[in-house]
Amino acid sequence: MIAFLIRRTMLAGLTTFAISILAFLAIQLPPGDFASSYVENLLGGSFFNTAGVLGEAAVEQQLREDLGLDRPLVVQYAKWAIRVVRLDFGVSIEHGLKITEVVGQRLLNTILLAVGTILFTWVLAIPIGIYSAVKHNTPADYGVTFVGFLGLAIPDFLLGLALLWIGFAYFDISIGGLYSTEYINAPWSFDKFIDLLKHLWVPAIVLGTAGTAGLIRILRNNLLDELAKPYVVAARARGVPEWKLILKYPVRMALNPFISTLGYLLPFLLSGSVIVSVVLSLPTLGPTLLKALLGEDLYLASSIVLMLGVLTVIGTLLSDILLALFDPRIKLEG
Amino acid sequence: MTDTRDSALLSINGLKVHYPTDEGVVKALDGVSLDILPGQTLGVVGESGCGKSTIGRAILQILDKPGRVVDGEMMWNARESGGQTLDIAIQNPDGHEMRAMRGGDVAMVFQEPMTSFSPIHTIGNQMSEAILLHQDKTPAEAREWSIELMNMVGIPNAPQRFHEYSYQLSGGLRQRAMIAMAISCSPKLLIADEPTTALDVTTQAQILDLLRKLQEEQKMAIMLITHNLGVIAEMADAVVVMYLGKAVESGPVDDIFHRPKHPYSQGLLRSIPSVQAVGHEKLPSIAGSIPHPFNRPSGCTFGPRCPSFMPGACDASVPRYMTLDGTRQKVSCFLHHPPEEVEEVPSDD
Repeated sequence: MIAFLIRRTMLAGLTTFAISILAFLAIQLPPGDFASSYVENLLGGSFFNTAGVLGEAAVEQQLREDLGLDRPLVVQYAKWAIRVVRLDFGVSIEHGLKITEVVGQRLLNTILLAVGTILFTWVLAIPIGIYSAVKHNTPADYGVTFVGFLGLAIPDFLLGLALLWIGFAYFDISIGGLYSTEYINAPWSFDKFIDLLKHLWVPAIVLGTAGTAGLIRILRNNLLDELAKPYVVAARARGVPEWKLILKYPVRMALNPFISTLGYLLPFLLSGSVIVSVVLSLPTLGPTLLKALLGEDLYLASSIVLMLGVLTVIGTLLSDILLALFDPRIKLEG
Repeated sequence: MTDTRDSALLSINGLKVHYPTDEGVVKALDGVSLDILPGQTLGVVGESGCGKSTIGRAILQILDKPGRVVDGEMMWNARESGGQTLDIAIQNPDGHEMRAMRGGDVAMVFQEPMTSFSPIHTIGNQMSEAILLHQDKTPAEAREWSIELMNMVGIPNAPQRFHEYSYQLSGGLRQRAMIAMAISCSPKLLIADEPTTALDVTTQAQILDLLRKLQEEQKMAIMLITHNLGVIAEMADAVVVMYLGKAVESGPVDDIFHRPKHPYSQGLLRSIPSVQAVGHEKLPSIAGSIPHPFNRPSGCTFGPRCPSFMPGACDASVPRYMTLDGTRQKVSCFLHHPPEEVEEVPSDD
């Protein structure tokens, strides 16, 4: 087990290193460098007049030296990496703010939304999937399957719009966003957390519906395979009560794919939820990343990609470890 | 006949198990009768699909869906242990009586020792589970008893094996563990469904020896379901020969092996390769193949494959399953009781 942990952690470290190189290279992609685009942007914005005092070229030169842009690429990477490890990601051109300030709150919101969505998905999908498999080919199963296909087929942004309209037209409330206006910039408190919970359920439902429907199908099919296995019959033959038997043996086996997909949840939510986040005006990273890419704000974009990459690696590592704890057969192979 | 029924541990009469499917009803058991005597081994033989495994599952009420008992009775004689006679056939499969019986009075050993243990729970976890369900023991006592049972069935390093998973054990050890689990609550009847089919020949012999030894110690009855006549000859006191969901012949093992009455039993016995056989001689086999489940022949179902088929009799009515005068064998064949005797043929469905 220890050897397994060490090996997996080292692999995760290597993957992170590879992601960081890709993120760094992405910054280098557009013509010109950060200094020139920064200065260009400053002049365009014209709210900052250091350029007028020092002269464009001088500012550009100063920035180049500060960032080491005149040195070889490897040195630039090393300097950048050292800053990143100290959580200094640089400045966003678009926002004129430090990237940590732009991203921090949004990253937290994204993670909270991911956790909320997965909780919603699991709480709904696991019992329904089990019920559907145990009662397979009964009217109840057909009903669940039908609703499940509906959930899969409805685009989530449409569901979001519908919920917004229903909330507005019938209950006279606005259900967009993640916080009430008075809490948006407030420091964290218990009241803010409660306020978050009041808002979180709408996007969790909108984002989780398709996933729930998909998971119900997966769990039902996995469970149907497992229910016919001899060890289930053997457990029944020694008198284990039916529900206890189903939960202890086949359900535990059928849960493996749930755990192994935990790590992919974050990137999925980010890339899949941009439209929903725009529709429901959620302060998450998806729209920020989209804007950064459109505006060629590449320091911001690659910082976001890097952070999510690292979080995904950590998520995958955690799900691997959980899986190894959950299924004794995996240690041999891992 | 009546006296064996009274002394039987389990007396099955006219048991029918049907599987309704979209194409029609599959009659897995079509009126089986047999008696299991206390402390004895009953061998149940037949080709694949004759329903022999279904009997074992019907006794425990663990038939695969959508199968169910539609007719007949399974009288469980609990008088010895101070209880009432219980008709298993009419019990609720999820009811308290059936759950107490499963793994308690009646235990089962399966064909596939590889897949009959959950791969993600330890052997000890599953053994203790059976013990805790049926006996008034603490988990520590259940663990102790499991290890003792594992010693009893010849598993070396039992305390260590207790914490291992099924994939860490060899096939023979797994089947020993399965048997240890089955006898953990001192069952009166052990149903062994092809217990040695998945094992190599040396291991087969060891497992059969073990079963015999345990039977002597525990005084339990064994219902040995197999297609292997050699295993039957070695183990059984009495034999039931099954064909297409029915018992066609039964009796003491020596009588069946030396004086088989039914043409099907005769055919089965002839098809065993013999050590004394002359080389290059073709092994006799039973002509034809098993009829399709939705296209059963009328009259005697073995008729179309039978070398002694009698037109006008065998395809007209179903021979009754009855004791032959002067023997201890029961047989259903018109060669032994002519059709005239059968006036009221029970309709086949």
